[in-house]
Order: sequence, then structure tokens, then C-alpha cells
Amino acid sequence: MKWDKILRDAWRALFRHRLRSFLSSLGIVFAVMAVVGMLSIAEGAKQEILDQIERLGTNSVIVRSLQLTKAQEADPRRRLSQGLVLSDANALKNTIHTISNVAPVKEVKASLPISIAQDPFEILAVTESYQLAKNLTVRQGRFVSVTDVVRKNLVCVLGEEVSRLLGDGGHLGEALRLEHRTYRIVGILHKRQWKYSKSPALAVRNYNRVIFIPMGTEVTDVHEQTRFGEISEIWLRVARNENVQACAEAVRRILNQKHGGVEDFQVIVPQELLIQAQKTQRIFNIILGCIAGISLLVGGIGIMNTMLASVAERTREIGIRRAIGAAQEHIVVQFLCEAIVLTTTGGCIGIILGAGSAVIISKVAGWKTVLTVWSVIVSILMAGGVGLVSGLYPAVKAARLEPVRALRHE
Amino acid sequence: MNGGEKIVETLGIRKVYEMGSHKVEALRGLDFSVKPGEFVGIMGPSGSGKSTLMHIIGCLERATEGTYLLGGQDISSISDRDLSLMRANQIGFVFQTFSLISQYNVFENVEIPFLYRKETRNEARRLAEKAIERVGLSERRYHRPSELSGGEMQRVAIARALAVDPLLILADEPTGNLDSETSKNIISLFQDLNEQGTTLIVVTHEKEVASHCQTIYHLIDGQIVNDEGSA
Ligand SMILES: Nc1ncnc2c1ncn2[C@@H]1O[C@H](COP(=O)(O)OP(=O)(O)OP(=O)(O)O)[C@@H](O)[C@H]1O
Ligand SMILES: [Mg+2]
Repeated sequence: MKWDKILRDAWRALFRHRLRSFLSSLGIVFAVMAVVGMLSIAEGAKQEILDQIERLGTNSVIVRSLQLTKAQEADPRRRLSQGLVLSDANALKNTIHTISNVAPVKEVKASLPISIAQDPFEILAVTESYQLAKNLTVRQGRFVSVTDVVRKNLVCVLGEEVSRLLGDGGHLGEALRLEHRTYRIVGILHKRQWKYSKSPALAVRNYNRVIFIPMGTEVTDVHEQTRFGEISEIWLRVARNENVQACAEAVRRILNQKHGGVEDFQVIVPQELLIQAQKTQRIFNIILGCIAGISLLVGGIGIMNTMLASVAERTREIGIRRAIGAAQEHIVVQFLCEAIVLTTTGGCIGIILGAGSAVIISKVAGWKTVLTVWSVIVSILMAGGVGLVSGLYPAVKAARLEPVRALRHE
Repeated sequence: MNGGEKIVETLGIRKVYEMGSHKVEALRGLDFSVKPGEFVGIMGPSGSGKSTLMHIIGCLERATEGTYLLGGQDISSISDRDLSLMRANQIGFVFQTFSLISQYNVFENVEIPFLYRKETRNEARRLAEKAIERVGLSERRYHRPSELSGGEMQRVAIARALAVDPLLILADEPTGNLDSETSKNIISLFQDLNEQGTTLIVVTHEKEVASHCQTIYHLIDGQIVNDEGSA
């Protein structure tokens, strides 16, 4: 078969009735546009969430201290708990064997040096385990060490941006004054990618803007009423991925017991969030599939209608072609090609419109959208498939026409 | 085989059209043959079965009964696909009403049969060019049918029929829609082709046209009544 000629003829036949072709392919255009647009949004959302979960680490469990509400504050039972404290971290470490790393963190409120005071920097009191928990890499010097924690050495490690903003005062060995204590800079971290996140549960710290000091060396503001040993977070790392769920359960149970049922902590399991995200994704996919299916069905009916009309008005042409040698399969191929060209062209327009609307949505709504090659291929195949299915009946009908009868047709 | 002698040979061909309970017998036992290089005319009143006979000879439909040998080969009961192949390779058709595809230009119309044949692209182009030249339309090969006169359109149809160098060319009232001057033109074109060796079967109502034929058959009610011929 001479495919270039067949395709050219299909194009011509469609172009001759361009308005009709255009109108009949609108269904496909919109179906594909909706599919591509929605897939881009879904893909964008998925990547964003996966990114954040990835950053938290799928094999970590995070315990975060929670501020009590007014009502809980009034409940006398709250006295049973002293909040999230260092001993919680130790208890978890000693009871749960699947945990490979425990990193308690305390957010410290202290006044910063004047040169960086106006920027939102964070001071974190940590142990040496924190480096492993967050995969922090040191560019110069070292991280907070065990000895620092045990001896309560007045040393600090700076995030890249902190060091840069401090200028000369931000080099190794320089002194940094926090509140009324002076810390010696022993390490500077590598610059780290950071992205703003809307979801607070998934929020990730910007480590470029953090000053680390050894746990226990922090002096808190006299006005601040923190209890002894209270910490903000505990980062647990589980050795094996499959133990994460069980570990999270154990953490909840142990802490509930220790805190006498007071809900002053929150356990965040990135792996659970991932599963949740996948579940949402699945629901979204089903809805998307239904919408796409219905609109493609409607679009396909439109195409079939047009092709039937086309066959009817070209009966004589079919007769002529048959008389000069076309076999049934040639006629089938001719009309099938026409239908497929019609729908794939509609599909291509739909992809362009869908990609365009994804761009507009990301501009207007601020959502991340991602156009994948995969979704483009699927859309084109889908459009072509609709052409194949809806063109088949008209094409076979055309081919089954008796040549003589077709020739006598006016 | 005696087929070497005859290009077309029909033995007791019958064609019955059934329309519900009602039957129309278009051909009633027809024996008919054509020798290579012959120029045959078929005449007869309307409804006598001329077109039906042409369709059977042209492999467009099968006879209800009887044997049909084309080029010595029995094709009375071959498949639809093989019939299509016969049409593509052995037969050239010219119809009364203009049978060109209106969205194609002259050249493309003449090229259509090659869509269904094995020739390469270049070979097809060359043969189409040659056929157009033979009917004297080279100048107009990029014109659309709507830009041609009736006679010119019929010449394009003839070019399309002879482009594939068929065993025989069938023409069903090729001059039926033309004025007498143009008809003469077409007939002399047929005669030229015949002199160059093409076998032709032409259905016509016009004595003028028939006078050019070597053999004339008269069909009445689906039967050949007599031969009037000058061999
Ligand atoms: N497809 C068909 N179904 C039913 N009857 C048919 C069919 N084709 C032809 N006939 C009948 O067969 C008979 C012969 O028709 P045919 O077309 O061969 O005549 P014709 O000699 O070509 O006439 P004309 O000179 O008017 O073209 C007619 O009675 C016609 O009505
Ligand atoms: Mg007729």
C-alpha cells in the first residue's frame, strides 16, 4: 500500500469539508485537552508531594511537640505530661530496636548577632545524630560532636547563608554571640536546595539559615517558660523501610503511655503520607478516567456520524474506485485512515490546548503542572484509538457496498 | 485451451436480480466471445441487459449461472478479492457518466488505478503521463475535472483505463452524454487505440458509433439476437 498517497487523500477529503471535520473533532479535542490538562495538574501535585516526602525521608518517623489548646490547657490531666522531653527520645531509643538513629531537636529562641538579626534565622540545639538524620554535609570543619554534647562545649555550626551573611565573622574559629554566651564556629555546612512548601506537615527547614549548637548549651530567655529538658522534635530513622509502620505504632504507644494520654505531640510518618498521597492519586485517576472515557465516547459518536455521512455522499467515488481495482480492504483502509487522521489531528490540537491550559493554570492558580511525554503519547494513542473504533463501522460499510450498486448511485 | 484464441468467452451466462419475491432476469443464457484486438459494439434497447453484461465481463459482479473465461481463465466463481485483482490488472472501464474524482486533477485521476497495483511510484507516474499524452491532454494534466469539457473528461477516463495497459477496455455508452462532434472525437480515439492493438467492447445506442466496430452484437431481453459484423 502507498501510505503517503492514502494519508494525503485522507487529508484532502477532510480538508474539503474542513468545517464539518473541525466541528466533528471538537469532542475529541476537548476530551484530550481535559485529559492532558488534568494529567499535568495531577502529575505536578504528585511530584510536589513526592518531593517533599522524599526530603523528609521515607524511612523516618518524626515526633513533633504540639502546643496545647486552651481547653487542653485547662484540663488538670495535662499535668501528667511534661511535654516532649529529652527522656522521651532516650526511651524510644532504648525500647524500639528497629530504630537506628534518634535525633532530638530543640528550637531555641535567642537574640541573634545584629548583622543578621533582621533575617528569619533559626537556632537549633541538636546532638551529633542530627547530621545523619538530615544528611547534612559539612563544607568546612565538623558538625556538633558527642563530646560537644556531653561536655556542653560552646561551639556552633553554621548554615551556608548564615556564614555568608556574617561576612568575616562567619569564618571557622570566629566567635558568635548568642544571647549572653559566646560560641566558637567549628563548622560550616554545604549549600542545600530548599523549596517553600504550603503544607505545614511536610514543611522542610531551610538549613542554609540555621545555626546549630550542642543540645544542653542553649540558654533560654528568662522570660520564656520552657520546662527543663523540653524539646521540639525527635527525628527517628528506621533501618529498614518495611519496619517503618510498626515503629511508628510503637512510638505512638510508648509516648502515649509516657504522656498519660495528653496529646501534646504529633507523630508524622512520611511513608504514611506517601500512601495517602497515592490513594488520593488513585481516586483522582479514576475520576479522570471516567471523564476522559465519557468525552471520548461522545467524541467517537460524533466521528462515526461524520464518517457515515462521508461514506454516504461518496458512494459513487467508492463505486469508481472499486471498478478500477480497489479491493474491499483498500476501501476500509481509506476510510479508516480518514477517521484516524481526523481524531489524531483533533488529539494534537487537544494536547496543545491542554498543555496551554496547564501553563495558564500554573500561572494563575500557582499550582505546579508537569506535562509528561507519557501523557502526550497516551492522549495521541487514545485519540487514534477512538478514530479506529468509530471509523471501523463506516469503513466496513463502505467496503461492503456492491460495486455495481455504488456505481449506479447518483 | 482454446482461451488463447479468445480474450472473453461466456457460456450460458444468466443473471437474475432478486428483489423480494420479484425476480428480474437481466441476462438469459448468453454466449459471447471477443478475440484479441477486436473492436466489439453492443447495441440494444434500454433495459436489455447491456450494462449488466459489461459488469460481468468487467468482473464487477458475478453471473448467477454460466461460465466466464477471461484470458482463458475461469473466473465464474473466484473470490471478491481476486475479482478486484482482475479489475486492477486486466480491465479498463469507461462509463457513461463522468467517472472522475472531482477533488483530484487530471494527472491524479489517471494515477488512481496504480494505488491498487504493484508499480513503483515513478513507474506509475511515467505510465500515467504516457496515457495522458496518448489522449492528448498533456497540457491540461493539472486541471480539475470541473475545468474540463465533457469530451475532455471522457478522454481522461479513457487515459485512466488504458494507463495500466489492460487486456481489454470496456466502455458503457461512452458518448451517451456528448454532442455528436465530440462523440466522433472519442470514437476516433477508440479507433486509434484499437489500431494500436487494444481490445475494446463498447456499448452504444448510436449507429454512428457502431459503424466503427468490427463486430456488433444486438441484445434484446437479455439475449443476443444476431451478429451483424464485418470481420
Ligand atoms: N441491481 C439491480 N437490481 C435489480 N434489477 C437490476 C439491477 N441492475 C439491473 N437491473 C435490471 O436488469 C435489467 C437490465 O439492466 P441494464 O442496466 O443491464 O440495462 P441496459 O441495457 O444497460 O439499459 P440502458 O440502455 O438503459 O443502460 C433491467 O431490467 C434492470 O432493471
Ligand atoms: Mg446501461
